Amino acid sequence: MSDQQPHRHHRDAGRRKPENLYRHGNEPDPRFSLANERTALAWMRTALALVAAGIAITSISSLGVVPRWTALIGAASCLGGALLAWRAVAGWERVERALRLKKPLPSPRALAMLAGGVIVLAAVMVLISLAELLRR
Amino acid sequence: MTTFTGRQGLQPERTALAWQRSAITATAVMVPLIVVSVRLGLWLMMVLECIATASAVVLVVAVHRRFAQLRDQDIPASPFIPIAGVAAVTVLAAVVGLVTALVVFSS
Repeated sequence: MSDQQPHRHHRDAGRRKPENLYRHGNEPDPRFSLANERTALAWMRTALALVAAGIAITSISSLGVVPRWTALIGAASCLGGALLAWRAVAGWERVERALRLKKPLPSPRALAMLAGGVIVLAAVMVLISLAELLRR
Repeated sequence: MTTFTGRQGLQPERTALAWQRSAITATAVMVPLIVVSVRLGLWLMMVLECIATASAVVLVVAVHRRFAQLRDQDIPASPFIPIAGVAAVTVLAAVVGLVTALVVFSS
């Protein structure tokens, strides 16, 4: 760490948001910060994919070719997308804080929840497909 | 983010590309949402979707600012505000999708 870094840290703490995050700890290796930023963006794209899937299911449901209640699956997917988007921002902040305080990185709990949600969604879609096949 | 020299592993470029992908995805998601709302005649939802789409387009443009920040090795910058912007667009799209799905279910 150079001699100028503490001065820069205090000068920049005020203009970097959120301030309560940048007020504490030391500057981490920038490669780690950028990797954290890209991870948060990857979560955000996953959230957008969930929203897109929800809209697609709703769209198919509105055509009347599948039972109306499938729209509820679309609603659940959209809700999951919204929660995941919030989680991406919160997760970025938690990891950045851990990097600055040189603490162990928090575990990616959202990953297990996402996997469980996708498995349930896929199982329900398979059941709907089978029901449609048997009906014809 | 702090400054660093040498741009190891093209980190700024990779991060800027991740931003581009996210902003473009946010814009693309809005298209089917608008189509469904037009088909169902949900005009209020359509207005909200147009706001979300406009915000997503602004994000695509704002990504260039973030890229400039990443390339400038003298100015440390936080990604919090643009990330919160993408999250806001995603949540708005999700809420509109949720309401649309409930309307489809109850119709």
